[in-house]
Amino acid sequence: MAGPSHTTIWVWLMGLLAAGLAVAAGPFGRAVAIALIVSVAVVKAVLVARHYMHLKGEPPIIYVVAAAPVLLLLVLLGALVPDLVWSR
Amino acid sequence: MNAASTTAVSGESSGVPSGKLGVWWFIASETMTFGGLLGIFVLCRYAAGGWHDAAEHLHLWLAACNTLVLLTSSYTMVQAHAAELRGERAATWRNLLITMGLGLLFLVFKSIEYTSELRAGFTPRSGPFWGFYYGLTGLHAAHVFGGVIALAALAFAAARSPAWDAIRHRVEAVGLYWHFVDIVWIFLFPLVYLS
Repeated sequence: MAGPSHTTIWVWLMGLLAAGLAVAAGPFGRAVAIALIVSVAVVKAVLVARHYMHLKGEPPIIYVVAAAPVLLLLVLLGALVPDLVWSR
Repeated sequence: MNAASTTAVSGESSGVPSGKLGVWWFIASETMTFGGLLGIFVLCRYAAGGWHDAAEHLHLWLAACNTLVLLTSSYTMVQAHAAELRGERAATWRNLLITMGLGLLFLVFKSIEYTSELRAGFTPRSGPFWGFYYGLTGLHAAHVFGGVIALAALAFAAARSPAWDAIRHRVEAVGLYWHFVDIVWIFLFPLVYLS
């Protein structure tokens, strides 16, 4: 089954860019706004990776290579939280 | 060449061409670089209370325009790759050229932004926020510049090279790199400018 066209994905990306700007200018509390803005960024990144980098059609080894640094980053940042955030 | 070295060159054992797998490895290492820096920035910013006063001096709409430019350049890049797969050399060249132009436009906007901030007295030594800001966006801009050079070389080859059929698969490799640079900006923009 054919997925959405590249043009459709671009339209979605433009809509999400507008949504991020609208949230930043909206009446939300700072924590809610940041959570929404970062969520919008994650959706945009997934759209680019899946449809423009063609991740959705790649073999498992590409997923392993792409996911490994993300997992390592989560470990690294998790280890830094006590020093940088909790110690203040 | 024996069987083992043939497999190593073609990447048949993994089912992925070696060049493409190499680009993904490179992207993985770059993910650690940018992800580490961005993660430290977010943690330090949270610990310091947000640095909101400093962030208010940033040019949000210039950065938003740059987001539009980079997202659109990813679209034209994937169009170049699609044209390359169809064997349409002129369309490949045209889309590579447009992508390169959009990359240059990004750098022009970024230069305007830097010039304005430096004239206002905000240098990398003006505080931790500005150190992170110039470090993160500068490293990203350097990657965009590198991508523009690769796109220029590829566009030139698409226009002139008699060996185009032997090297046209590089459109995909450069495209993967370019989309990665776009994804980095997708996170830089909200975390630096909107948060």
